[in-house]
Amino acid sequence: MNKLKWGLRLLTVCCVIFPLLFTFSVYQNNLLGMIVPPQIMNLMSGQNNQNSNNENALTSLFGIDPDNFVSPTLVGEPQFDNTTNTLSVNLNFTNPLGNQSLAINSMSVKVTDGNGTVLATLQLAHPVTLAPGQSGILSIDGAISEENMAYLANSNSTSLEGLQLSDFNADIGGIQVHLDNLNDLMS
Amino acid sequence: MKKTQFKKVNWIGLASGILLIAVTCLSIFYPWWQLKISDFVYANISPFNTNFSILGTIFLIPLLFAINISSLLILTISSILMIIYSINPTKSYSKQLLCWSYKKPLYIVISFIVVLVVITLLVQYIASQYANVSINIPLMGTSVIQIPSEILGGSGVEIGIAVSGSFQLPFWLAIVATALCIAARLYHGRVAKAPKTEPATATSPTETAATDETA
Repeated sequence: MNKLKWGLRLLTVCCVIFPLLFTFSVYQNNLLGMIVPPQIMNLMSGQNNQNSNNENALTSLFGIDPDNFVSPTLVGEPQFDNTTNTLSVNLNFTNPLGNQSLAINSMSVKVTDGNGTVLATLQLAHPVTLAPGQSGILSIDGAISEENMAYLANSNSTSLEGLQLSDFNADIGGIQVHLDNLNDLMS
Repeated sequence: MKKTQFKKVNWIGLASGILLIAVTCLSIFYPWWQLKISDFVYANISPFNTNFSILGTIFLIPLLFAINISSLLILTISSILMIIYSINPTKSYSKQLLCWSYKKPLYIVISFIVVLVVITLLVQYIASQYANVSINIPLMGTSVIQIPSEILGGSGVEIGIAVSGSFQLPFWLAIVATALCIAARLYHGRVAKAPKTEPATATSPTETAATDETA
């Protein structure tokens, strides 16, 4: 019985030691490689060799194509529905990530005039999930109240020129972004 | 007339052994605990398969991989030995097998919980001390990491990152399997001490030989 007992103990030791020894033997010349993922090690060695290519290596590691980083483009003309006083805007957006889908869960922005009056709140009509590298349409709409319609009708053109996009909120893949004023960012 | 004699089996041990095999197989594909930082960063933590995913790229740490293989071997052997013990609980070697195999899942589950708690506390401490970011990593549930405006370098900009942690199915199965292993150990006393039932019509060896010849 003692043989079995010691045999089982030996088995435990072997199960623990052999995988560790194997890893140690593979990385014996580079112990840092035991605790750093191989992709990061490659990146680090690339950094040592060619500093200029470091950014490219990083973007290729995460499958990011810098050319895909483009601002959303307007699709067609903004539409205004007179019956519901709803403004609709369609934007074309491309997911710049090569390995990761991108979910735009919510987005909203307040449109104010030069006097700070909130004319409408534009928001994403429905959440959009884009596969890696895929393009999609973001439908953004917002209703304008009767009061604001009357206000706009009475306003002169100069006050309409100073439209502001403020209180921007977005939830992009669980990252919640808030900007007090979107015009500052766009200018 | 002969009475049918059922072989003694430690059914609790058998159930725990089978469940341990199921846990081992499931754990290769599903983590015990998953940390999700927005949709872009995942940490899949398990004694058998630990990896990290950033923007869809999966990272493995070789040392952790070796420890995972060790745990996988130990739990696989443990479950096999538990099954062997369970179908032969009265053999002379059975208790040795049971004592070796029932402890291993317990050690693995306890080690996993301790390491998980220590790592989350350590990350929270390092983030608050060195990055000046207050992070709450929930073991179960969701929280939001608020990026300080000093880091963002401007007023009027706020960024919050949703962080959620959750224990997955293999973890709960491992807890059940471990509880069954302990129950099997406690039940072993009853299985081993139960009186051996003799066949009702005991026949002597000579009689058996005679009946064999006539047949």
